[in-house]
Amino acid sequence: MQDIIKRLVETSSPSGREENIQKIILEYIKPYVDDYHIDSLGNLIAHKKGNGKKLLFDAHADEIGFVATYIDDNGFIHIEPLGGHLPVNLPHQRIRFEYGTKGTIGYESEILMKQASDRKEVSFDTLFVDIGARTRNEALSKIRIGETATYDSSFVDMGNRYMSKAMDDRIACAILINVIQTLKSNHHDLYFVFATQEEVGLVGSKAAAYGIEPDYGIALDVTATGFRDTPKGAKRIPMKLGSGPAIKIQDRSMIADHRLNQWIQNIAEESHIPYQFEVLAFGGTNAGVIQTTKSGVITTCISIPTRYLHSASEVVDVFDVRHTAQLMKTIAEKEISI
Amino acid sequence: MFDWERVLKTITSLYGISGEELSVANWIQKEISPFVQKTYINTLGSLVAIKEGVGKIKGKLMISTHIDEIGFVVGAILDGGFLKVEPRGGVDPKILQAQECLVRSINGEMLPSVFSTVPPHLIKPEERNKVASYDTLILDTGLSEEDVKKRIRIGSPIVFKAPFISLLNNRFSSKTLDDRACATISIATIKELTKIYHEWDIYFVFSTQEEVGLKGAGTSAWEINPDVAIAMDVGFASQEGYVGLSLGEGPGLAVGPNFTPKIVKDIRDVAKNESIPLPIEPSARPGGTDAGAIQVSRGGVPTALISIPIKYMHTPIELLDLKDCKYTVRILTEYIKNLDTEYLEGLKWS
Repeated sequence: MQDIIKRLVETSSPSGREENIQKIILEYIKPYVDDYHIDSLGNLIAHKKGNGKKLLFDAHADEIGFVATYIDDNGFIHIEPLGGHLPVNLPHQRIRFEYGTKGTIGYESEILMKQASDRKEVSFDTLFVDIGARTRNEALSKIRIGETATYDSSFVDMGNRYMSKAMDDRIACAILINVIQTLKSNHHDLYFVFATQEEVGLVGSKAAAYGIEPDYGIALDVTATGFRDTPKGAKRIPMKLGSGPAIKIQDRSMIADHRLNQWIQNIAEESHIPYQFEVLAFGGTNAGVIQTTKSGVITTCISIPTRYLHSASEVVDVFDVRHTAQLMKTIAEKEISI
Repeated sequence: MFDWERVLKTITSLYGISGEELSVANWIQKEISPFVQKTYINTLGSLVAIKEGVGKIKGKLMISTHIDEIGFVVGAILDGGFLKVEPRGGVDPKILQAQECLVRSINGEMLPSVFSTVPPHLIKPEERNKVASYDTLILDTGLSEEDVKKRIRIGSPIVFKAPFISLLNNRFSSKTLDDRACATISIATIKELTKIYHEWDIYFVFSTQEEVGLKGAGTSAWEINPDVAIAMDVGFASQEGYVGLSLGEGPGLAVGPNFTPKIVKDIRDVAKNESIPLPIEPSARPGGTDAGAIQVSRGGVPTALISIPIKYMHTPIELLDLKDCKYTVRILTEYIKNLDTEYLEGLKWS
């Protein structure tokens, strides 16, 4: 599974440009599913037939990134975010453009000095990408306006933990690949959605769920950790690494169905799978749009606790990854009763 | 006679934060079942009651009021057993200090609790003007850490505990008038409809999860696929610093780009003919009511919004005037009388 994770997180495929990652995921799952298709928004939808009601598992395939909007007279590339970035975290990050050009995100001393009193000074207005071009023309020969970029960061095996860009949400993609490859039998008619454009507004998943019209929906995504994980972490966030998958109670996009949560809690306990609960003050997942599909879908989200979300160095714990895969497999094997 | 005070007092006393509305839906179901042809609770928990009309070619009118209330869930359990909370729906943390709440335990008991506050003696001069936030607020059950961990878990729901206050001159103050005052209006209207002849089928939706994104109304509208919809919610009455609707001077009828002109006009005409006060509530944007989600369901639904003026919205002391509720029942009933085959035909754009 580690090799799959490494390959997925190192693939560059931001929102709207998911072709690369979908190709790789398809390669891993093709022999194990009954059928699959890629829909008009680029979602990869795989199907494992079952006799029960329709159950949808969702992980998003896109990652956050950037898009080149303008090249100035100095040959600097100006960028806009694809998905949620905190600009203050970006200076001196290396990024890699779609067609291979690499650069570092720069800003100037004046901004650095103003930043001390106002963090908002560091913004996409003042940040730029230095690709080493001496002139605007040289930059123009390397970068096209509208070209996307992602963090230039590679997978690190830290022993019990993994670090990389794009753990959000490729770690969930890797878990679903593992479920597809190792699942022996499934009660429910099972749909796996590798969704596009989650980071820019839950776009792909909404369309995929509309097409599938599931009875139950479970999104698999990453979540933040707080004061139980690192001493000065947020007091409002109880999640921590190494305590197992988190069953979502609520975030800004969804109140999870408490009956489905109770059922998941019960089967986790029966199967001796560790779990924790998640209440998140910010953010949202595809579960939010799956839930309101057509006349409504009984929905929740299972989260993999992750440190340093949306950075080039997101950290997950192998214990959580393994148990999340086990939990998703157990869910898939059983009949949901609520 | 409809016993407004009994229904208002009971319905606002039920606990049902967004996503946990079943006890409210069950109570209403019992209250209205004898007066409608069919009731059911749908996937996201909304209660649907169908009052069938007698027409041959009949349309469907959906009347939506939401039954969820704002509240909180336990976000984290701190050392010492103190609770951090996260809001479910929009609650201004400034009003929470020293507020009494109930936490539903794992076993379903309602445990008393209070939000912490710093005694005036102990507030440092430089912190005098600071206001409470969810980062600073702590909910205290008075239980030991051990006891808290046995009875409460992350995600346990929390509701305001607040009395139902009968003010003078038929004004009432309570938690959850948003939007159970409107649910009460629906209940009263259902009973009123048993006395009149109406052609269309009227779908009363008691929707869930309005406060967290209009979820129950949107999914119910998709399922029902109505020809016309009227959402009812509370609107801002004039109070210090704001000029809006006036308590006791009639419900507001929203006018703006997101409300279908024909439906708005027809409701207005009904009020005019019956001499019922119905001030206009200008609404430049869709706003945060069920109307917003219903209007864009499927291929679109002609939608209107009626607002019951209240003061102190999203607090435990929301305040209304009963006159506005009674006016609304009359407006709805008179509007429903007009719905026939011709009305259905008239909805087509020409």
